[in-house]
Amino acid sequence: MKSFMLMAFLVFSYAAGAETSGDSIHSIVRGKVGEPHLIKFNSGAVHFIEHDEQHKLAVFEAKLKPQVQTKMLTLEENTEFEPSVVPDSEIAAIFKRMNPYMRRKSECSDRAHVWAWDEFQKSGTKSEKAFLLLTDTYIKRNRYKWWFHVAPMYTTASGKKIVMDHQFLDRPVTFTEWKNFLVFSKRECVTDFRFLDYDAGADQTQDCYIKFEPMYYFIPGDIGARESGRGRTGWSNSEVNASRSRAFFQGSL
Amino acid sequence: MKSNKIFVLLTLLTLVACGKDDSGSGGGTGNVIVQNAAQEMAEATPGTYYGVLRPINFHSNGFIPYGAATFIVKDDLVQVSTTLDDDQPVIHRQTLHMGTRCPTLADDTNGDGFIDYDEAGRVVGAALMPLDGDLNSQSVGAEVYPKGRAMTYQKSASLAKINADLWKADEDPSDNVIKLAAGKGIGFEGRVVLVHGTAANSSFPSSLASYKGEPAHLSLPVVCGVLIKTN
Repeated sequence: MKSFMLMAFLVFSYAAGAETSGDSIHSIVRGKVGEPHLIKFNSGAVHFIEHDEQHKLAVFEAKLKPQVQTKMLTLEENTEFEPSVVPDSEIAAIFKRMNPYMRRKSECSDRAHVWAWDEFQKSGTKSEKAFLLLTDTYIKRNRYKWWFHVAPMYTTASGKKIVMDHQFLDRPVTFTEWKNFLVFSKRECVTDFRFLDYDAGADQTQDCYIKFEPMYYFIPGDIGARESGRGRTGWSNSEVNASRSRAFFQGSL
Repeated sequence: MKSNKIFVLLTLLTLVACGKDDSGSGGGTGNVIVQNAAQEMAEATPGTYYGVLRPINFHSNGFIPYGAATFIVKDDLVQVSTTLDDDQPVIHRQTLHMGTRCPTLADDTNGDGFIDYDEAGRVVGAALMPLDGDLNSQSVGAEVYPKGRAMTYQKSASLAKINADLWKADEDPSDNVIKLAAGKGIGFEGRVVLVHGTAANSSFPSSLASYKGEPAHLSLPVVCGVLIKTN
């Protein structure tokens, strides 16, 4: 009895510890025999549950909120959002203005949201978010601890897409450079797809998928919401404030 | 003394002074270069020096580590803190270096896809202050480094004691830890903080260089940052 209680406590502790503050489970990918199960969190984190750890999997499944079935609508494109065109010479200045005071444990979605909002407030520049989504096969092959990553992206007058990932890179880089830092195979990512299809399993012969979204989009689930007819067209101040408090310990330099 | 190979010291000091690729040591010029680098270093003044610690080897263990380093100077007090978000439960050796930039993939001279201990050393320069168990001394507290998946390190020291230790005779001129000319105080502006250590991984190539023959994964540079004075 004691050992059962201890095991139950440990399992609960494991599950509780896996979820960072405010983090919730996005989805669970059950592995085939011999493969780990993947617990995907809305923060982007991935936890591996080995196939013989059914008790841990059960805890996570119990915590996974049931998906609300939404009526599928025709894919709604973001025709109303146009990112600002930034002079190439301005890119370095934008990077320099980014808040560098990230907390020790911060999530990319929180950082990207605040950086994009701050620049919009300072200069009125409308940026995009580059969402990089990895396939389950890629995650398992590399024991990769993240299923997505996001950073602000700017469009320059010369037509470049420049990503600013201040936590990982000390300079602005082209989208392709950014992708190649994060996708070790350096394979091209799928660009023409629905997030809901990716989320349902995607083409597992690929390594990655990429979506460019308006700056208002916070996590990949927001892309799925748009595809279900609930797109974002503006900021939520409370959401930005919450992201700021989670991701940064002080304001910009 | 926290020691290492002399050739690393000499080649990296050449880099610090000349900004050139590794092209051999040239022992006859090494001491001059040490002096030049030290002379160019602005001595610490009261204020805060901050650097984002960014990943060096993005694909070492499936987790991209990151953190920050803060040095606060107030009168004689020097407060150092480093933070690291990582998921590798290993010791993280960390040091303040004389260099002015962090390594990039362009510094992967053997082309194995990783920036190893020696390759990073050629870029970040000689070690000035090990961020270990005792900041007042290069030798006391040696090899006492933070350990953990997500670590926070905080130590305080006396600026006068740090400088006094730096002005002592170098007990081991063959290692990569340098001393300063008497009267020349330590500086933090533009200096580099380098943190090492990740878990063993069977996919690491055998070409990875390591510190004093330790397992290469413990020597592997994981994050790096350049300090700038923020106030």
